[in-house]
Amino acid sequence: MGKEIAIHDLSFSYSGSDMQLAHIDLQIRAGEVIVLTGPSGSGKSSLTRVINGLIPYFFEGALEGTVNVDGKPLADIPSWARGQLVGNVFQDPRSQFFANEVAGEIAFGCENYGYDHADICMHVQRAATAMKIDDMLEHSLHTLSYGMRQKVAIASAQAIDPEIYVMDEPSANLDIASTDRFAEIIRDLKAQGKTIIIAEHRLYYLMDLADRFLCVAQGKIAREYSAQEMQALPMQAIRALGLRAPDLHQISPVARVSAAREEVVLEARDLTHAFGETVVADSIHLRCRLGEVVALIGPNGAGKSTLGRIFAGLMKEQSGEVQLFGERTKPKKRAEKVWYIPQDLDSQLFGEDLLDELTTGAPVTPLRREQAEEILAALELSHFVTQHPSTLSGGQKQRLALGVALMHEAPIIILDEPTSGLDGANMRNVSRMIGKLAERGHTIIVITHDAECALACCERAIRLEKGRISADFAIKDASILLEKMGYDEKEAISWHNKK
Amino acid sequence: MMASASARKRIAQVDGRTVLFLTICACLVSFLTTDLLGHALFTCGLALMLCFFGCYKQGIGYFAAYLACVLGLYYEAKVGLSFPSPLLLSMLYKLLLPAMPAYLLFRMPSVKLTASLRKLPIPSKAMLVLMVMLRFAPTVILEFKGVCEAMKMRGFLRSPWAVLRHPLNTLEYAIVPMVFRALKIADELSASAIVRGIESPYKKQSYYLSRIGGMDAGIIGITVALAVVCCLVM
Repeated sequence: MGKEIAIHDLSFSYSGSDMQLAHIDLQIRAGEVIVLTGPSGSGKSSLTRVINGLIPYFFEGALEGTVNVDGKPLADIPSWARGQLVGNVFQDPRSQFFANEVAGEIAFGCENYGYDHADICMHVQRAATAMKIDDMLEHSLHTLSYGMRQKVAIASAQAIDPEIYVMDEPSANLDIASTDRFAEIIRDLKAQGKTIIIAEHRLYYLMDLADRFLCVAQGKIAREYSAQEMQALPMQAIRALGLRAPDLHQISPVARVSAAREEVVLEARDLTHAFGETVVADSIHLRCRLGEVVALIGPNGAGKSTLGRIFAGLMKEQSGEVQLFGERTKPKKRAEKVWYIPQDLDSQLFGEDLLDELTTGAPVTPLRREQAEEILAALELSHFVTQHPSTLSGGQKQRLALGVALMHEAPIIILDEPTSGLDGANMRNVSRMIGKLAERGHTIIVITHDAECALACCERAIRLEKGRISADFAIKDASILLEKMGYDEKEAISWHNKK
Repeated sequence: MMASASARKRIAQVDGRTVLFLTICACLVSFLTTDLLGHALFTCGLALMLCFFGCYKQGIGYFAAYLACVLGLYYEAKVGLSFPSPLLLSMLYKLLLPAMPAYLLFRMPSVKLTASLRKLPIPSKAMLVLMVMLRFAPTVILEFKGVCEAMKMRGFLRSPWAVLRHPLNTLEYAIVPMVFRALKIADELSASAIVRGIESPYKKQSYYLSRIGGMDAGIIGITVALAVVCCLVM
């Protein structure tokens, strides 16, 4: 049975920073599922780090107040032993894996806690069976999809059989089908009586799982809702809190006059590409018009990012052709007209400040400087001009990446998961910027799993599945898009009925 | 060229200490041997070893690069050229040899390698550093690919000429994002290891059984014989 957690008058500030958590009082009952939500930087992750003991042991700072687990102070438990009590799942499994193959990763905790070889094998097998990944114990982690990696991360936590689970944005990189499967896993853990704390922006999949939703703002628990109360909140209130929609069917596409014109700027003809035996683009034909905003949707591993990279000239197609502005264009030339913004932006930042980021790579003439300043103003980044790009928030980095594309005057921009891991306010802000760029005549392809983002800024969606286009449609209402994205309609209906 | 199932099985069967021994031997041979033929013979032996473990592409690739270095050095000495730098070529000539078994080391399941290393008399703190290094290296390589792609996108790697004209700028563009990424990943990785008890004082066993078998004995025997021939006889 899970354990109860009692947090009393908890305050924390990282060394040399403002207060991150301020006088938090929180009682979590054994077996409860608690969702911490709220804007980025509000203190959700810090609170999870206090519960798993990383604060103040690893992330140093001034900690006041008490955290008790089943009445025993957490501070009395040695730092190395807390992992037996609290299992952790982080946002990006890639940087939490210690092994390069599935079995080794699941075994990691058991090895550290002194289990003997037979016990380790037994725990690994049991956790892998529970996650239905027992047939892939020898697989390399690098070859797995995000959904699979997240399963491995949970199996790794589960192998030690902790009573408490702490998860920090576990669904940020998952497609809708994987998120549904992930919800099932949480349901199973809840049925086993585990105490589960999830810091999360995407709320819809937790509506019939969570016992309480805690809105964290400026280091405090600003509001507390039951699932019913959360579901009953009008969209205006959700927006005011900077949250994402608890029910995706509540969202309607943002009314926007399409900036698309007749001219076809990007065309793929019979485009084919494969990695070994895995076909990621299979005779693809598609056309995008000037000023159009297209959502490229489909499950993890369908070939969306590969297609984006081929369009941008970062990869060469194995057969078929790509035409830009009516002319067959080779990869090197494509790179001059198509700008690809990948999901991970940290490896894209080269400048010392925002102006430097936009102007780096060529001499800074007064004209270029003026142009850069104009772009920063248009993207509402002028306030941060002296900051180092890496210190920006996720949404601000995404806007800066758009700025770099504008600086290079790229007529076609491809964004790969631009709103992954962003809170509601930042997601809507980035979506608004995308719409604004389309109005300026840019053609934009948004590779996304985020239905809210697609509804907020895209006018057309192309679904890719196993390297083939399985649907191409105008986004007129939410239900068709959600159905094509794999959102479980039945689940939504059952939830509405419950309401 | 994909490794066949039997070749993959061989990697799974070999003990980490054997590959580590192979790497140390390669380092010693590379820096102790004075005879070109001996050096080339050991390199050829390691290329065959890579093929034995299913890494055909890498075995052939490393050996081709080695031959290119030797021929380059020979040609430069004969004609009196200094580009590409002879120092660079001779460094590559020396380093390619240990790089070959090191590649095998990274191909092994990391937990199996760790299990083997735990059998060696290494202090636990040094062991912790070694484990993090082993885990960190492949991540850094993957991240570097991302950075190179971003540089390509920005036009910093548009042509070899552009790189040669501004080598320091290119280096800076590669290093700055790499440092930021490496720091972030190191932080996340350390946090993940700590919450899973990496610092626990328990005596650790492994999912993989670590023992020197017949194949290990064969590889060690061949390596020692080859090293003696290359360093002492030739």
